[in-house]
Amino acid sequence: MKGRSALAVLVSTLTALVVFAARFVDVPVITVTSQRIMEWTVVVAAFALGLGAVNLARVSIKNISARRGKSWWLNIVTLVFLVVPAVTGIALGPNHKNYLWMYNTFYVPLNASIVALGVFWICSASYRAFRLRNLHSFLLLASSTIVMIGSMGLGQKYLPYSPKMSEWILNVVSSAIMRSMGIITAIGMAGVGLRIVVGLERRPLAGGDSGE
Amino acid sequence: MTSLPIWIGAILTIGCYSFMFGENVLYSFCEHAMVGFAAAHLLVTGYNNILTMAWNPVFQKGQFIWLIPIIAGAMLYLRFVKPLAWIARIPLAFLIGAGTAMSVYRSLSAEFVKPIASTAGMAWNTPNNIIYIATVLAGLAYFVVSLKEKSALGQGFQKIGKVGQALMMIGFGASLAGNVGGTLSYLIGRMNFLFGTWLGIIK
Amino acid sequence: MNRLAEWLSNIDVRILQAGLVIVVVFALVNPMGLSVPITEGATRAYESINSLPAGSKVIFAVSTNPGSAAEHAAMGPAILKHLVKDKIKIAFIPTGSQATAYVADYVNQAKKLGYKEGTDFVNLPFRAGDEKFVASLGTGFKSVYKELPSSPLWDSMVDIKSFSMWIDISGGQSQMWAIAHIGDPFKIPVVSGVNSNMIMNLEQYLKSGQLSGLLGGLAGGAQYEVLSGAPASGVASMDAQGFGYLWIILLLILGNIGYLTSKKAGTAKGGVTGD
Repeated sequence: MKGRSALAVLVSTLTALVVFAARFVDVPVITVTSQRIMEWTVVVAAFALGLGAVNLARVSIKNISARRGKSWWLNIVTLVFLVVPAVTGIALGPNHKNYLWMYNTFYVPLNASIVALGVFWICSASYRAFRLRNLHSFLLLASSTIVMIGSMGLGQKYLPYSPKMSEWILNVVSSAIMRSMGIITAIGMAGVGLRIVVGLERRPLAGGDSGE
Repeated sequence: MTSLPIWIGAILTIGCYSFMFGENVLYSFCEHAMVGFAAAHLLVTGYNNILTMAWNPVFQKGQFIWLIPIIAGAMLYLRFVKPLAWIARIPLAFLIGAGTAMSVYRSLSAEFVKPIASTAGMAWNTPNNIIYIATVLAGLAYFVVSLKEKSALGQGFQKIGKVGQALMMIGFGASLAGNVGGTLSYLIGRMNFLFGTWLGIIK
Repeated sequence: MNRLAEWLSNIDVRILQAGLVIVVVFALVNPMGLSVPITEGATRAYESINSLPAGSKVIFAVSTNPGSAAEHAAMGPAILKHLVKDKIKIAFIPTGSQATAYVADYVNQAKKLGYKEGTDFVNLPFRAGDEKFVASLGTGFKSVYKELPSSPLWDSMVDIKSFSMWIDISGGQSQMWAIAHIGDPFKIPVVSGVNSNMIMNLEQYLKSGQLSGLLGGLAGGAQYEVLSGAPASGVASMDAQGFGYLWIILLLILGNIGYLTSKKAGTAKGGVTGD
């Protein structure tokens, strides 16, 4: 079993080293190999895009045949909205007017509306969760209020200094804090990335099988 | 006369918003439909990519080198075949290796070295610049956890870190305002559709 | 006082949510025509694009999806109109799998403004790979588009250095790919249009010069419309956004009045645990 895991780690390490080295050295063998790798990852990633659909179909069919739960019929809905557009898109192409009609008629309003539900959570949180308990919560609420007022025309009209205050918060304090957090995050990401490359972090390469 | 797609869009939008009154059949229908279509769209775009980038070059132009990524990509689907599922790790490792190299390079160059260089290169000649540099340092001090708390240096970092923590709250407040603005935009988009495109009330 | 505190603490949230919808719709139906505060990021974005000489080539990278479409609805068309007005050549590239429909919209808008495919713009297809794809555009631009037919404009786009700017309209992730793999190594200016919630994360790159302009959400689009002298849907929506902000501020105040008066009365509830 160890050999299988080691093979995956070897592929990951070699790929990462070649691509990473190509960023810094101008050796033709490395840069050409790296470019080829990048082109191939586009194709392999395209295969990966379909994995979700296949898995969703598997799970939906399983739930339908087992009649699992009271709402098992919703899996039929999922399957219909998976199969019909997929067949249309594959047969006619993603830029065909029939596929685009389905996309614009069904998917666009669904996705946009579900994302737009977030505003109701904001409403609920603003009313119930954001409490003036201490200095930190005061700073958070004060800065969010100043930025909101400074971002709107009414704020500019009735509180002329609010846009300048809002800009100051965004350009100085918020920008500086996000920079410090970005630096720390970059260190963390580089650390995890290097662990994956040298094979110390195997979790991304695990799963989906009964191996180690 | 409003067309069929607009009526369908309006019904689906109202169906999604019916969630305000609690989970119900219409909302669940919309949710499951969205998940199905999202997966279908990814499948369609992936198929199109494979066709144009790899399949056609092999079978129309004789560029057989593209068989390698085709086979590697197909190996990903072996994860659904239990005895052969381990093979799917190899193309996954290929993707992870390339992606990790990209993200490590991006983290170090664009998100670590350049921001530090930019901060170090700022002139201490305006109050805003001084506040900016001090805020960056205070924010970094907050995340320094490796110094011993009881040492003088450790305690100094802790005090500076507390200032950084307070400044972070100001940053998060600005972030909250951004989130509010974003979600309001989504609501405005949907209301423009319902009351403008569908009902014609908004001109 | 106790009864007021209790009432303020127990308003049905659905009433408040409905109130937000009413306020926003009211502002959309009855716009007041209020001014739009302009940010430094929007000004720099406008000036950067305005400084491009006629005939320059830019990449117009789009990663819009139906969820973020409302945020990008104003900025994309405003920038496109500006590019067409200044006779800038465009390569449309969808960098997100769901962006192809939105790029198709931009292509139609460009055609309506008089642009011709092959001479004024090219429409490049989507390629999977996210960051790997963007990086491969830097190192081997044409190698990912081998099947595209020849045209005068496409033939002149030899590699990434043929372009004077990368304009990125997305949720906030592809900007970082563009900065790291296109902007920094090849010194190509990157102008970014992002969702409102990502402005804070990207402001620091504006300060360090890694971004040449930054537009945030619907407000960013409205600002660009004002700067380019072509107010449109973005400006029309700003009143509604302003009233929406006011409603949220009102909820913050109401919730905290109820909380603080309840706290005095010893019956406080609500809030996030562990402060």
